Amino acid sequence: MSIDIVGITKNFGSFTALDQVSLSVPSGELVALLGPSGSGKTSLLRIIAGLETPDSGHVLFNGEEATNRQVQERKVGFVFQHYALFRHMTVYDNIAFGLTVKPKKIRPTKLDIRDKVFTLLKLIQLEQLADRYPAQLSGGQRQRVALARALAVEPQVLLLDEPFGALDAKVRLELRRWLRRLHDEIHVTSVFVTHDQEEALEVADRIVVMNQGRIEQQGTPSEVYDHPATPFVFDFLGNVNLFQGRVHEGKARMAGLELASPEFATAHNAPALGYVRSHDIEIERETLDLGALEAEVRYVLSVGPLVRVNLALVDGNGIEVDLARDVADRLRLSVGEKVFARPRKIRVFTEDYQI
Amino acid sequence: MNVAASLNRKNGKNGSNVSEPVWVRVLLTSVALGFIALFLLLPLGAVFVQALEKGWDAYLAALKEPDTLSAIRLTVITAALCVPVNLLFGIIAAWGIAKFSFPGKSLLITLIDLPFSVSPVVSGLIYVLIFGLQGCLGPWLQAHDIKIIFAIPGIVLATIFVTFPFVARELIPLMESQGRDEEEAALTLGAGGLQTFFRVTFPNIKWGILYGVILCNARAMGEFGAVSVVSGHVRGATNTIPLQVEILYNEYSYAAAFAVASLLALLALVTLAVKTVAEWKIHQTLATPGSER
Repeated sequence: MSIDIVGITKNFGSFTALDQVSLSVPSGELVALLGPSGSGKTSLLRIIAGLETPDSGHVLFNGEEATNRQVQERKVGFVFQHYALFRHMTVYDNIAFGLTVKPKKIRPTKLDIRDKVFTLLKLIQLEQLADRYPAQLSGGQRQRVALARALAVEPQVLLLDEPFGALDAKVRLELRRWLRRLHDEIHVTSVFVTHDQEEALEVADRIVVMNQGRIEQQGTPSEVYDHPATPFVFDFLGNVNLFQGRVHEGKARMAGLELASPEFATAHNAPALGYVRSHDIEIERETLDLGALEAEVRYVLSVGPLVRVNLALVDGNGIEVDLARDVADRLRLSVGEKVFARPRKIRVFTEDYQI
Repeated sequence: MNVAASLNRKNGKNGSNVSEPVWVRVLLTSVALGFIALFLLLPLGAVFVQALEKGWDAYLAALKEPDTLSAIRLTVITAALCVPVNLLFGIIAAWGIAKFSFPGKSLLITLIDLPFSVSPVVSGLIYVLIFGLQGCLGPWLQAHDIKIIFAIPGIVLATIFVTFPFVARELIPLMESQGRDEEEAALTLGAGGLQTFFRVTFPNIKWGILYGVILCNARAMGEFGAVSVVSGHVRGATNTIPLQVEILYNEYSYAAAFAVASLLALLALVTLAVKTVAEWKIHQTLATPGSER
């Protein structure tokens, strides 16, 4: 089932959670709503589910108006951040719940329910835990049960609110890959909310980046990551260094660098910001041309597979550079040493955020 | 179990660095225990000792006295009417307050607490002022031959007023702490409002309900002030157990007075026992969450 969001606005008191948001989710796609807390992503998800009513705007399912449809009629599966399993029911009863509350006429027989529940238990690999209570499960197991419970009613849409937010790093990684494989199997239109850019990049077909109740950019993970439309998106996806400067007739000057930026051919001495990802900078001992900045090593930190180098530029500003471990090992940087930093890619935005 | 015990012992040892010296602990504990013994256990014991002073037969005879039997009957009727009304009201109010936000919510919470802050005598007087002969509805009621004040309806109304915070007060914090997630999950799974209540909400709050009901019942049976004002003290007709105790006591039949009073004391003990079980169960439901909050 496809979902269309048209001009949704939602206020909580004086706080605007969503401001004229429009979005289309084609049938069968797995979409991530990515943004910091307070960006409106959860509100949007709850409005799609019918748990929240928008102040204005429309929700369409398969092109049909569904804004005023009751939650129960929407056929959405909702997975809550804190699982919201029924604490007084066993895993089996939790998963069976959606089937047992159906009106008598369309309710499956006990045997059919049993088959269905065990098929789902098999899917989430928890067959042997059918008689456990939620309190006796680990976080990852609870989340899988919550997912099975949502899938039991064969929803047209699966909505997941920070599904892996409360799990530890390793379980989170496993579960999100499992979710991706599951989606490839059952192809139900899915929307999940996350503040973790890595999670969104890895799992989603498409990422919708939200900020302050608006959509900043939407696109495939590589589009969003490689071609951020706004400084916010650039900043939110990954570690970024910022250079202040100006653009004038297609040329940008910042931190002693001069770069061609043909997109600003008509700009006249406009203030601009240059964004460089921390892994898009090379460090050299000697330099041949003007494309590198003189700097001094302030400190060197080893972060798992990366080495994070903090440099002080001549103008006093600091930048961070992420080096692969083998590169860092070859360089053997020492604190206080003079080096050159060469940005491979600089993305320039003028201050009114136009491109 | 052994591990837990040894851990506890270990913690006890480590804890001695931060806890008070032995004499302080002993002193504080004995003060608390002494206070309880003096002001709670001693009077409670005295009630039973006095009640049985003239022997078991006299005790039973005092309870079988027709006026006393009538008082017991009236008390049971009153409680049987008040408790269901306040149970229904309490659940509805707690549901509304805990699961929805609406304007005037804090005002409603304050109003629910009102009977706690008003002297029961005043509560009784309010009903006299409304339904009594000189009250605003009095003449109309008399013309239609409806008796409320100095009759059973007045007693029931006054008792309902005095006891209505109990169930709601017990359920509101419990339901608020459980949040709305499970109910919302039930809705997304296609459950209707009533299905959600009976299959999801109710099982989570049943011990809280029992606790509220038992407190409400104890107060409904034991209420003196408000009932005293509206009852009119008609022997064998509008006397509840507490009023009967007072009358017997004022007539210097101490043994009979204490015998009747022992019923209320027993009720208190039962209440205490059920309350302990209910609290333990509530703690269990809260400690086995479907979430890690």
